Amino acid sequence: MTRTATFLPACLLVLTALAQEQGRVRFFVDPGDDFSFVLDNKYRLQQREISLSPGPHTFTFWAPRHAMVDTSFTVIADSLSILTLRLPLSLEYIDHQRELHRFRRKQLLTRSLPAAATAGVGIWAVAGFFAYRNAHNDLQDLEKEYADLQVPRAIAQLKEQEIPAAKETFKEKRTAFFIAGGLFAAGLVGTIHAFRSTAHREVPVFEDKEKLRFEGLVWAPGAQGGTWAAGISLPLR
Amino acid sequence: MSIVLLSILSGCYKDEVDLAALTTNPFDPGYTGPAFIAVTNESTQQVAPNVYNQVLEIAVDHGILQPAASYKLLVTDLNNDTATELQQTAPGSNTFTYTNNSVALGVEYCYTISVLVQFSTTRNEGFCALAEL
Repeated sequence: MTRTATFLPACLLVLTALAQEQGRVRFFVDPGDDFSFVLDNKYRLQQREISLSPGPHTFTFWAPRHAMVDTSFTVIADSLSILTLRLPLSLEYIDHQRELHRFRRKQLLTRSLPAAATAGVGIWAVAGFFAYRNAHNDLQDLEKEYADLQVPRAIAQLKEQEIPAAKETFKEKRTAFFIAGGLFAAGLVGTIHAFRSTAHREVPVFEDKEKLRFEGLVWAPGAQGGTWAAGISLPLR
Repeated sequence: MSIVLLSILSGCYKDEVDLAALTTNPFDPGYTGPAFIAVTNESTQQVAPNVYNQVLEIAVDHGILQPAASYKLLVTDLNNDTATELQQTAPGSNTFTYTNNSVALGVEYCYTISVLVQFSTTRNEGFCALAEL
């Protein structure tokens, strides 16, 4: 009883002394939403503020899609220190972004452009068809007009100028429609082929190797000594 | 499929106007149908000593030529190369009278006759007659 009574105040005294000696570190890290860090090569943590014993400490910061950054920081007792850090994008992620950009550009070239061009030619073909139809109607109207006219000079003008001109216009519109229709058909076939040939093309997936390296840094103490923990992540889709 | 559709659509419209076949309107100078101007009577009259007139009675077939408005006839004397415009004897009438003054007896006079509308004429119909009493 006497020993217990002596031990408890001593423990409280030590804990109080320890609490007073610790210093706090607050992290301002970019990106600030999901960064993690490994403290002193031992503990993987994910928090914005930590209390540590005074003295130098090592930190390894990491965030998804970003590279690890090692830094050391000296904690001062009974004070709040600020650690500001900006994590750079990892090289793998930059490469992935480039690959993704190439993929999207390729998709654009092989799918969107042919589709857009085909749609444009389709509109041209439809417009061409209506122009062709109108030219035909104009020609028919002139033929009807011939039967109704009662002025010889007007009839002569109709036969010598207006109908030949309308025939020429009809030919032009028909040719334009055939060309537009042919191009549209070819474009349609090409677009369908482009869509079919690229249907199974896989979108580049980002594999965050920096994360594997970061998770591999953690040393987990066990009963038989320390072990290095490594992890692997598989994208589930 | 689209090619078939386009073929069907394009097959709908063809140039069916045959210019060479447009000859059915009697007002057309290139009209090829039956004549619609006919000389129904011809006579030579002495109007003074040694002065003779040739008179033509002309009828227009309104069954063929169906004018919507009044019109004139243009008679050209090919012997003298003179043209004369004739008014309808009455509104809506289809008969005209042409008088060629001072013809010489025993001479054949030839004429072309056509309908005159707004300073342009229909197909010419030819007629020749001998001036004789």
